[in-house]
Amino acid sequence: MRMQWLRAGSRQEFERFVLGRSDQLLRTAYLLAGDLAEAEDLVQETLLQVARRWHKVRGMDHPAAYARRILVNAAIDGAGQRGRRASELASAATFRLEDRPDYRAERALRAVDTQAVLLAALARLSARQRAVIVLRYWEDLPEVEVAAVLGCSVGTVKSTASRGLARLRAAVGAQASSGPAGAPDHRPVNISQRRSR
Amino acid sequence: VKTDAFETDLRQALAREAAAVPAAACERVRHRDYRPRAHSRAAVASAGLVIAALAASGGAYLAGVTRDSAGGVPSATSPLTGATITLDGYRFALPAGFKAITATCTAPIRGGLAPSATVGSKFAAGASAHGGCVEAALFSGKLTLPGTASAVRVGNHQGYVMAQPAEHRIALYVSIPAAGGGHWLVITAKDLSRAEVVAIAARALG
Repeated sequence: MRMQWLRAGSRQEFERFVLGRSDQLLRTAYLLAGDLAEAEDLVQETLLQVARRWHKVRGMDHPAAYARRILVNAAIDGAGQRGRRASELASAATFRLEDRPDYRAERALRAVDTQAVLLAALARLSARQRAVIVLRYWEDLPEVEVAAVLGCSVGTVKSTASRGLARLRAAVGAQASSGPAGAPDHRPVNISQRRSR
Repeated sequence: VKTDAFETDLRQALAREAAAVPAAACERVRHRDYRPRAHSRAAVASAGLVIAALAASGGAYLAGVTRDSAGGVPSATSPLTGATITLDGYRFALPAGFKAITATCTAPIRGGLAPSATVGSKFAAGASAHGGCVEAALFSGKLTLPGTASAVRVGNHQGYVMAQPAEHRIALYVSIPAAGGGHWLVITAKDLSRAEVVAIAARALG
């Protein structure tokens, strides 16, 4: 495998592919996972899988679409683990973010910020709904391509997007009617990433 | 909220959030080594023997790996075929290309734990020719976890990770039950992924 990889000169092609596509993959992974470390791991796993099959992938019409499909499905598959980790984090006695003054301040600020409300609501969607929303509104993919990525019908994409958008709208609506006191939940694992930027 | 305005807000929110990914993270992802690794028959056979031995000895490490894999935690780690460093009976197998060193190689993570006392040997460390390094130490005492840590399972143990992506540094804190009070295994690393650091600790504690 390694000899074939080197002999075909495809290593350089793959490296160009990584240089050209990894940023977009990482940003998509970040929106899907809501955590930078998770996003990096997802992209690393995706690109390792692409590298292993590069002799086939390089001949595809859209290698980037293949990589995106691996990434999105890995993110959906790993969502349960992330959810358990996040709840473990929130419930740890030594780790109550709610008690932190800086966190309360951040939450108050977010309450008047539609963007923050949307992102917080996005984090509460199911992994599949989140994937549909990210692919439609960040990657700008048409429904038929979203269906191809997720391996489902266009009808399923439409209904999933509709339910996801309804929940996001409801979150924004609730925020608008209740003001800061009605601020939505947070994304605990993401707080550190926000501070480190 | 009207549909058009709402969808515009949504697109802008996603675009701003995506744009906030640090350049250092993009750089790190770009420059990892993704080449397929050659697997010789001898290596495969050796791996089989190691797995069989671990399974026969109770499989604590395998249990942790299985749980992580089932949960979707990426297994994208370099094989731990580099040097093995030892600290108070714990053996840390390091990634390929790492050698044991006697000097400390990483600075403390900002906002990390401020442990009261080290336990036993001061530390054990390894480094690679490409600038990567990893350092393990044991601490005792009651420690307050910083708010910027994220929880992670390390085999059968509870761990917490803190990262400084801009500096490619990461610290893993693992709680280890011990007679007379809990201990903490602290692994600080540079240019290693979270999955790699967790794998090093899980194997040592398994």
